[in-house]
Amino acid sequence: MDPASTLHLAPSFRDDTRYTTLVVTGVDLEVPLEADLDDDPLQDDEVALDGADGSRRILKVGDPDVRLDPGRRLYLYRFRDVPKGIYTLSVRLSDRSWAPILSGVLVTREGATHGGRPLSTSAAPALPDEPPREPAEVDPADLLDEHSGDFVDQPAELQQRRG
Amino acid sequence: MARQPQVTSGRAIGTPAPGVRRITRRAPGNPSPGPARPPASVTRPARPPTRTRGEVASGVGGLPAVASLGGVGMTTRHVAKQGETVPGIAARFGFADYRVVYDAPGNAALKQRRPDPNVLAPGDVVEIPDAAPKEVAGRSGQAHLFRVDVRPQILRLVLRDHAHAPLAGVSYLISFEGGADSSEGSTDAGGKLEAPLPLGARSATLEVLGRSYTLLVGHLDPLHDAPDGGVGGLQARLRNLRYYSGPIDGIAGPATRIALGIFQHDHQLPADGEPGDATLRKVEEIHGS
Repeated sequence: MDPASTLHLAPSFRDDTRYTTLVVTGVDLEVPLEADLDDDPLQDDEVALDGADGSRRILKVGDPDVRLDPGRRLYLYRFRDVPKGIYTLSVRLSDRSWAPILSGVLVTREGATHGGRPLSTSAAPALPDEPPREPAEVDPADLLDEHSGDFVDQPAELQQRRG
Repeated sequence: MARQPQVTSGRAIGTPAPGVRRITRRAPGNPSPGPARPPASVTRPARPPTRTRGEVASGVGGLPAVASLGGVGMTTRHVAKQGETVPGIAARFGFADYRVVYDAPGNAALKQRRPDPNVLAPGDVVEIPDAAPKEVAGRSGQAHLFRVDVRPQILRLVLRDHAHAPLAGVSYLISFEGGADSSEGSTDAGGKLEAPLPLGARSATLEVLGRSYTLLVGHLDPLHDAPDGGVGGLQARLRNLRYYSGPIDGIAGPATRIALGIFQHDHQLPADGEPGDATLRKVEEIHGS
């Protein structure tokens, strides 16, 4: 079992008035990555979210939490239920080695930011049994005005120009 | 000289925990047939001898034998281990009301240092007073039912989301160890829930929002005056608040400092990662214990 899900508590008496606070949700952090970066038709790109505490989560194309945004040729990697902390995002294209693309991602109670700029998150409780979305049902026209965060694989100056 | 039959005092002193062996005191004037022992009427020293009982005295099932030695004058000291609370220790020594132990004069310093009897640090010494005998009249040859009034304990929680907003109307299930007892329902408008704690329960499983958490009841360490400097207690609270996901090892490493720094950032404190007084007060306030 994940050690982070083992919680140490003190019991209470009936006439106590204090409640122990448990925070039971995180944010959903969505990482857009340009599709088919290496012109590989069998793309198996992976994105890793590394916490400063040593935790690591990896999503790869084909996972339920990765969806294609065909209108913008983006894969959206959705890391669910991310707790507060400092993170580094890395990508691995095909069988190449991991390459950091964004370090110092800060997740606080306000959401996720990088360099003071907000990243795309959702504060809704993340339910793991939510069915994956069907890309075919997404109308690309509906996505044009949707803010999905920065292109994390773009150079910083390009991100600033976009911002 | 003819050997006399052994007689026990037979005085009720409360109901010990299940499986606990009751020790009875020989009545004066009925010497043991074994090695010679001083009779109970021997003058005792003015200051009763003290013995420490941590792992020492064990009864049935690993529980300590009940020190039902009213009048013997032996003060027992119990060294708290991880996961122990004053009410739990008191119950194991046969006291239905923990306040008999917590309010004992010998625990005045402990009470001052640990204002919450449910939050002890490993190594805290709890003095166990002599049990006061209680006599109950009853006809012989009949069965008698004795009821012990134990002060019930509960889990009192408030569930919050990532932004610390209360999670109202969220279904939960708490299953206590062994699976015999459980509590389920929905949080109220303030995200609060209360679950009665079965006697002796020290762990439970909380299922909420599709996730499962192991709750170690009584394992919360204090933030102050602890052998590890309060770091373990800090880590546990930061974990409950989802700032920290590393081990609760009492070591203030980088992960702990980062977690504390983000907590400080979220609560408008200087984000230096140092557990200063203001930060610890805020952690205690936000966590609720």
